[in-house]
Amino acid sequence: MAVGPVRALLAAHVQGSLRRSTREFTKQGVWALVLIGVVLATFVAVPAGFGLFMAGYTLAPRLAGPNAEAPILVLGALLAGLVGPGALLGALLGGSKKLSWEQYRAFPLGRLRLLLAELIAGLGDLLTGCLALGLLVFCLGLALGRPALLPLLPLLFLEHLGLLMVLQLLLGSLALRVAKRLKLAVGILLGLTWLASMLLSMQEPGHGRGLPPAWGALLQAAASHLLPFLRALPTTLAVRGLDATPSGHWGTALLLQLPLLALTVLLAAGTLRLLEREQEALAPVERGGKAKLWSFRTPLGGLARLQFRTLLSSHHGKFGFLMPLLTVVLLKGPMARAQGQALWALPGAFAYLALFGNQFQYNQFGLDGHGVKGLFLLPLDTRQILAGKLRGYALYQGLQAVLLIAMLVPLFHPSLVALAASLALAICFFLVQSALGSFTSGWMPRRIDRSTLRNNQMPLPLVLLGVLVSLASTVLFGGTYALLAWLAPAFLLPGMVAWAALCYGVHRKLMPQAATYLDGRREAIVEAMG
Amino acid sequence: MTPALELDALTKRFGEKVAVDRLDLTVEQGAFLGLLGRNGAGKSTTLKMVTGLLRPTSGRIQVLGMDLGTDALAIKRQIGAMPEDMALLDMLTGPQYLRFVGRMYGLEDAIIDRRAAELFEKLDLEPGPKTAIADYSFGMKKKVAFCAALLHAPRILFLDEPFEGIDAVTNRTIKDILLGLQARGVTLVLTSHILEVVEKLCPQIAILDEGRLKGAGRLEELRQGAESLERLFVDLVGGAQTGELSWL
Ligand SMILES: Nc1ncnc2c1ncn2[C@@H]1O[C@H](COP(=O)(O)OP(=O)(O)O)[C@@H](O)[C@H]1O
Ligand SMILES: [Mg+2]
Repeated sequence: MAVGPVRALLAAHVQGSLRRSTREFTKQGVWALVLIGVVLATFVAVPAGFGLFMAGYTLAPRLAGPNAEAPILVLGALLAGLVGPGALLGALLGGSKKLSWEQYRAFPLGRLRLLLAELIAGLGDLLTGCLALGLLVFCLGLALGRPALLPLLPLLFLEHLGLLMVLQLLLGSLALRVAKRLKLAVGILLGLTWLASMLLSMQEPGHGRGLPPAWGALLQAAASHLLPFLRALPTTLAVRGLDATPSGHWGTALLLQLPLLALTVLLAAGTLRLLEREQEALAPVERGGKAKLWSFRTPLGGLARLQFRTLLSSHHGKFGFLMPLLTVVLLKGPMARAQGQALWALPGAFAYLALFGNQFQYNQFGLDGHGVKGLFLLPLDTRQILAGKLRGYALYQGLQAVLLIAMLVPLFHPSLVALAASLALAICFFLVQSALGSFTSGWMPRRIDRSTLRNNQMPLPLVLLGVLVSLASTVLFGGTYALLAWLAPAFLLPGMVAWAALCYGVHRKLMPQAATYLDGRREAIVEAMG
Repeated sequence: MTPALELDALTKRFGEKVAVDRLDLTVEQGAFLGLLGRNGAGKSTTLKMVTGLLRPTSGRIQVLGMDLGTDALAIKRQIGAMPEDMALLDMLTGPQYLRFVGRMYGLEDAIIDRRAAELFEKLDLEPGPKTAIADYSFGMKKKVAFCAALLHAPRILFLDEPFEGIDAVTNRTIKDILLGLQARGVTLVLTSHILEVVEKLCPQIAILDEGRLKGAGRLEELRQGAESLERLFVDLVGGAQTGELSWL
């Protein structure tokens, strides 16, 4: 039987993904995943699906008649909401390219076929798949609510699905490009931060809980501005077209689908361009100047530098430098109203920063990829390797802490003591993770792709362990901090420094054991890094 | 004189699969051994064990009289290795990588740079000044890996398929370099699935098939009786098929 090229591409993709995940997940991992899937399905997907179904079912009969305008707008907005933000979320959760275009280049395949396969492969993402299902359920609701709509519904479904897939691929690719340019990403985030803080400063706590009177007017004004926008949405137009079918105005109905289709085609063309340009950009870029050669006295220095460099050369590592910013945004924004912020904001910020590092700490060889073999060929003691990695990582997190302090000082005016004590707290977190991570790096090594932002790298048991350890450390160190700050502020700094010193001592004691353990696991690490 | 390499009932299992099966092999110092075998014969697995990347399931490895299980670091200072997939730290540029590697062997910057420059020139390696190894071509990566294996003047050199993906000119250069090394008493072990390479280059050969040693010794001694190495190889390894395809 002849197999279409698109189907062949997809089959290869699915087989490859399956094989990889069965290799990566242990048996328990699969079961845990199934469990999580079931829980998510029952508590999120099923209710959401039911809601969508009911929305379609109840709105469909109201589409006809003189009062149809409001339901049409609601439906249009709903579809736009499902497709637009849905695609954005899907993109941010890793919805960029799935197929390796480079490999398929050699086959006699049209670009459009490749794009089509790519789009369909995108449906394999959890979120996107769910959204597609949601869309389907919604259309079913519409059909059952008013069977007269049925003839055009398949088209409505398909065109929205198409838009969803294209949009997610486009946004995912764009997000990847932005992430590749750290400076641009920081710039964009700074802009967003500024905007958020502007908006939030409008509702200073002093004004009380409810919306200030000015806000009501603002909302109304916004709504009146929004209406024409809503009317002009391609999704709204498509829904309007849907409404034209029962009365037999087929021409109008199809005409009204055109904007949505045109948008999809336009975006698809843009995506294709983008992906092809990405292809060309893969060729080595010659930049001016010479790369700086390193010089260091001891192997330790070199290893530390290598680790630092590795972190910085990966998307995940670069992303880490956005964490201080996100922390401040969280503190200034959503959490600005929480009780007693003065007491916990500082330690909370540092703890949050330290916790982000989980994935690197628990999987210290992950970013090395197959280079780890090169490392293991060198005459290096595992203890040296661990110590070098620790230093490089400490430098990386230290820089982030400096960034955080630089932003916290003007915003919160913390006292020097609180600042120092929070830093000590962060060091405690860091050392506990590092000690534990020195073992887990050998226990469940896994390659972290340096050039994507996909966050699927931590095996589930490690994620759970991470959560557990974070909780325990928060209770232990954060609890000490809170108690001291509350009851005996004079002892805050000495107390936290004592904790940090203790952690350091324990860490040192554990390193030889970790090295011995890793020695036995070198082979597993080499295997895992491919 | 202690042998450069001594394998004693070396075995490696991957689950059910026995990749290397009770391999006994001795390589004298200054020898130039070609490890021959079909794809999947266990050549790479053997070299990975010898260079400490894989742990043997059982058996013993001695390098220059030292046991790999206990003296790994001392052994690693004496050997250079080029794994099959090169395994470079590819976020660095070539020169940066060599600096890193050289430093890890305790070499001075000036010495590293001089040797690196010489190697780059000999091998005709001219990467962009800021191009990371990840963006090098396959052959360029191979060359960098070769440089890294030679940089610290090792006493034993293990090369896994060194001529794969290398152009004819560089091929020639590498052969010259290897012969020069041999003349200076460096022990060389290379693997290949290509008979001609080994036949032209290596005075000693060992033939591996399905993890087992099928024959080892000096080339001309082994060849006696059989008219060519190819004949001998096919005889030892067996399983040659006729070259007809059903649809062509
Ligand atoms: N990590 C591994 N897991 C399972 N099997 C392996 C692994 N590495 C090698 N093998 C198997 O061991 C055999 C020998 O492989 P290898 O040493 O790479 O052969 P070659 O002689 O071509 O270098 C092959 O059959 C291969 O499939
Ligand atoms: Mg091989």
